[in-house]
Amino acid sequence: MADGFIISDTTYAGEAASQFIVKAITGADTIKGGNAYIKDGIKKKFTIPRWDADYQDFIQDRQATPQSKGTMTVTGQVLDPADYMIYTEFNPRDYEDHWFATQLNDTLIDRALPYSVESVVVQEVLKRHTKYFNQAIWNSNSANASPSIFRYYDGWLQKAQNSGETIVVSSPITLTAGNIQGEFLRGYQVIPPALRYDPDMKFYCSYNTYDLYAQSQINQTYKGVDTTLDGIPLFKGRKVEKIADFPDNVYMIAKGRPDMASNLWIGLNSIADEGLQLQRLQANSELFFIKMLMKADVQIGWNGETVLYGTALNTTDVPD
Amino acid sequence: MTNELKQVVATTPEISHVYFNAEGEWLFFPRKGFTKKISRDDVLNAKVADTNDAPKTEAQEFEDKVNPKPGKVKITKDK
Repeated sequence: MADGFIISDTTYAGEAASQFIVKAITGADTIKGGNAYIKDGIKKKFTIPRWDADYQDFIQDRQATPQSKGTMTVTGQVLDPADYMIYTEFNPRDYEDHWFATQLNDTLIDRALPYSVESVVVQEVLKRHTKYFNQAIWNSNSANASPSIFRYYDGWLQKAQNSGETIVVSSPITLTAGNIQGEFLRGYQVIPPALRYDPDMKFYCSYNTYDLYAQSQINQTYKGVDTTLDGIPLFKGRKVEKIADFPDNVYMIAKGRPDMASNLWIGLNSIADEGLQLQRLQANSELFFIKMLMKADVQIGWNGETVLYGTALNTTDVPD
Repeated sequence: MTNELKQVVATTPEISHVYFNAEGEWLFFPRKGFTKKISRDDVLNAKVADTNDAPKTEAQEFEDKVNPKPGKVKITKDK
């Protein structure tokens, strides 16, 4: 079993800062932005019940003794969370060669992680899971082969692509600052009328696509944004939401809210599962482990209320 | 077939096939109405149609309006 710590700095001379500095990492843009409803407490499966009827179907001529007219359709979308986990073993004694050796327990038998290392390990592993989860809920594809870590369930993009009800913008092209406003407009024009002016209908796109849109505003000859400012994250009044690790040349328009009115759903066994277990591996071992167990799935409430535009929707292992 | 489509296919190796409908619009995955399936090699080797005389779509007109090309902007000095 590989040791989870690779300690490259073992010079251990002079003094060191009392805490680590850590690399910046993108986070849960989708959840932090209030773009999805999180349904937790799902032990096995959860059905999102749907009710629909044609608005003209119930109207009929008056009759003294009327006959029933009109049908209501009840369907459901299923959240079926799939298992995955984090598990890494490490040996706290690796830190005997490191600056933080002074923080190790005095006795060898009790040697656990230095406190400043433990807090960083827990926080930073959680951050990395958050980044992975944000990427997985959009990009996962259950057709991916092992050992892809984006194969446990279909993400929203794949689910939208798989459904024949999804409104698809034809003839997608490589997006540039010169064409992005026109390409966004083509997506806007096919939003169903009932949702076209809904403030929760949002354009979801990558950081690169968002930057192209912001640049297109700066490039406008008149009424543009000047270069000292970020672009305005709106297109025809609808929010343009940049999502880390979203594929380029792709956008999706959907109603995203943090409550049940959202068209984007996330299903979890429990929100509290996103906590790490950090313990000694076994009673007779020096090794410790960190472990997290998760079950997750995503679903789209109404595919027919979702607009999809894209040139490469099946790319999943999106590089940083 | 347009240069824009060929550019997308050339720069996106994940695209194995292109699906066309009767109007010549395309998608990169199968869909109702997009029944003409062409391989990426055939797309890359196909001749590009001359689109200079084709009528502009509303989206293209919008694009021209908000992002006019340098040659289209006429700057005049006040006398």
